[in-house]
Amino acid sequence: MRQLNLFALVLLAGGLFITGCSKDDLNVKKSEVELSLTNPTGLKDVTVSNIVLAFKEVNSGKIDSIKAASLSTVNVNLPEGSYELSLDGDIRYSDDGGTYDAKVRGYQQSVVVKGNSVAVSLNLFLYNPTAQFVLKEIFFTGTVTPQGKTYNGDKYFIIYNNSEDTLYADGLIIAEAGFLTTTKRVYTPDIMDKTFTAGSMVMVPGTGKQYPVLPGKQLVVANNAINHKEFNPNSLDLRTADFELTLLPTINVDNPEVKDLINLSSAMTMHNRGFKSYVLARLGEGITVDQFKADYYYEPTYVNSAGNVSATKNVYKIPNAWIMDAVNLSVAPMFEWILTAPSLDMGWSYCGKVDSDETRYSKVVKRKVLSTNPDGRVVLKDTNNSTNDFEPEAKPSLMP
Amino acid sequence: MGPRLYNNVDRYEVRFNETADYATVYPYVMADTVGGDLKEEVYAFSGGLAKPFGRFHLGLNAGFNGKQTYRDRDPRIKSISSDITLSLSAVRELDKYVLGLNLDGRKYNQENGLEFVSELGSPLVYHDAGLGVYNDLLAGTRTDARFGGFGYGVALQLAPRQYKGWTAHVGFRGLNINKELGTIRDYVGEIREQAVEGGIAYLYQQGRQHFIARADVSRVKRQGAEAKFNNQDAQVGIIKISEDIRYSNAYTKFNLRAVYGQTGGFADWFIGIRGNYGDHLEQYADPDRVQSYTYINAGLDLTGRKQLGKVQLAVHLGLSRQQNPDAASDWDNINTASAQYGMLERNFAFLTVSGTGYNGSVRADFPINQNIAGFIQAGAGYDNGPAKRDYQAMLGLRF
Repeated sequence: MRQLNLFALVLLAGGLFITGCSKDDLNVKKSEVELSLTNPTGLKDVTVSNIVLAFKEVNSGKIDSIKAASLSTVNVNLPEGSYELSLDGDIRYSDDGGTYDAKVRGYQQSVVVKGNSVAVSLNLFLYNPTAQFVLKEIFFTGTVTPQGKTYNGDKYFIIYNNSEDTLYADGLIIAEAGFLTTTKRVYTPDIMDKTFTAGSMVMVPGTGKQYPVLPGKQLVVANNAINHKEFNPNSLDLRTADFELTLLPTINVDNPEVKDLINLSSAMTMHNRGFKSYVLARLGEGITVDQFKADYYYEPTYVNSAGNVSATKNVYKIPNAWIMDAVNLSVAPMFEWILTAPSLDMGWSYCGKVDSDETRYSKVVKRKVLSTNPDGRVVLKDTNNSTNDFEPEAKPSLMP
Repeated sequence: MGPRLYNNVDRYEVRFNETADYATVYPYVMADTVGGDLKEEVYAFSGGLAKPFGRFHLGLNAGFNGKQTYRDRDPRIKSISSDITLSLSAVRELDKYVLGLNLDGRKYNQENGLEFVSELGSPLVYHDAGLGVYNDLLAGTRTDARFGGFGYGVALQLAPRQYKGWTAHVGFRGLNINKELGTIRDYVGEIREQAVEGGIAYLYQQGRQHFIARADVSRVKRQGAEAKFNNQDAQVGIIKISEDIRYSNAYTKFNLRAVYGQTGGFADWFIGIRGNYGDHLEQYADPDRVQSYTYINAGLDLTGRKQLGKVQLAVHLGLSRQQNPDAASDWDNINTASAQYGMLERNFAFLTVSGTGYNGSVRADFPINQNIAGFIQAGAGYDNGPAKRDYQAMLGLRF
């Protein structure tokens, strides 16, 4: 009898869990976010309208968007996480001269949403998509030889006159960022909202009106302006480039038929995974190259992961007011921050979906076409947001 | 000393997983879309001792299972895992039955790395979180993962002292495994699994006749707690800001099995039938994804065994049929052009397809000397549902 009781006990214990599968109530924790918008300083009677607000959670990549006719604060219930906030809208404001309509934006990274409620403030800024010189195409990836080796001397920039006036390229500067979009640091001094930190810089020579560029026309700036197909059948012929760079001595090949740009700092070696950013700029009124080098050199410091203070050397600060176009580049899994003030560029483009993507070669970032005028002049898209303005991983226009 | 084992395994076309011991550490495996064939080497041994104390018998058993997984072309996975088990048993003799209690402990570790030597580049390496979801912030080039955890279990068995009568067993086991990644200080994922199982069986042996019938049921529930991070800056690095249980996989299985056989005639023979029912539900929260299905499987198998001189030859043939009465899936927030979408669709189709399976094997056992025996086994199987083919060749030594 005692053994039968034991047997029954074992069977009963086994029978307790004979149930089917029922749906689990999986819930992620959420927070109430109160977002307040801070208007650009110095403006009066501000009205913001036609707002598109995006909350991108960077762990999941999920984007929650809000559209509103007008608002000054936003309340939204979001899953806990780390968010990237961006806002686009119209703004009407007045000053002593009258009332104006313009475009307004806001952008903020690393906004931590956690706990029951979170208060977030987003600073708005004006942006002006006035047409000037723009970077039309950047070929930074290089090519691959038939033997499967990387080939680097065939990179180039295309600069485009996106205005309806003849512009002069004399004194035009292409500057490459001194930082990486894939390594976010807290630099001291933190002047990114007012300046761009440049590493390598090259400048078009000229006296002021030597190199005119007609509306809708372009300049090609090659790394080495030679026929690369002689060395790599998968490459391209850059002998007809308008200018060429002076690279590091070990990889520089000079074509005496093509004018060299002036290296203002170290030789430019375009990052072939696209971890840097580029701007087009001119020195400010009355500023000479020597003055610039003397007055705008700086050594920002940061605390490294070991807790020691390190300095970044050989970089220059270019005031945002001198910059006419900016393009941030990165790779999605590696992206950590943009290297420009959001007013210059609040997005980024890419060649390669992963770090060291072996499919990135022979691809460019190419600015999209906005419209074509009746006279045939193509107007390129320039909204100061490279995510929207550029076609990533496009075919190089100079490649047959 | 108990059994010792060395096993060399080739796995073909493994994709979306670059981590060893998938069944132990899922869903938090390292993955890419390239994959390829894998080589595995398994080393295992175990041993124990037992001692009677009056009407009690106490036993202690320890085991080690080590595995090395690698691939000699990109992506070059190199994974080393160890699984150490310790089991304490107590058996009480009753009049016609024995009652046994088992307490089990387990320590699991895995070092999981991935390397690329191609000059041109490498694919995206990501860390799966279940049902094709992965953390964007952790995807990229984080190719060093570590898994560590422990398991525990308790089981109660009742069995007849002779080979005739009823047996019953019931047990509970748990498993907790954490995943760490590169230099990130916090766990990126934590697996919590609990399982209960039980069953009854009837044994009958009379002269040349043998019969066993058994019914088993098990229920397993695995949950995955996943961390979210914020990349503050290069000094602070990536820090954990939140955690939620976002993954769940629960399944219940019922198994029935009966075998009748006769030994001692011209040849030994056995005929068996079986029936299985399974109910699976796998979920992920934010994005909300789910796949669920049930299956019914019925099978028939025949085994013949004949002594030919010093060689014992065994032939086995099996036939099975599977039907899936219910199947549903929903993939929220997914790019239908992505590799993950294709993987989910193919996997769901594989899990829910009905079909008929055939399998067979031949095995020869032979003595080598007084202390060592060897065997050779070859087998093949085909299931027309998923069009799945299995081939098996085995050479073994028994000491």
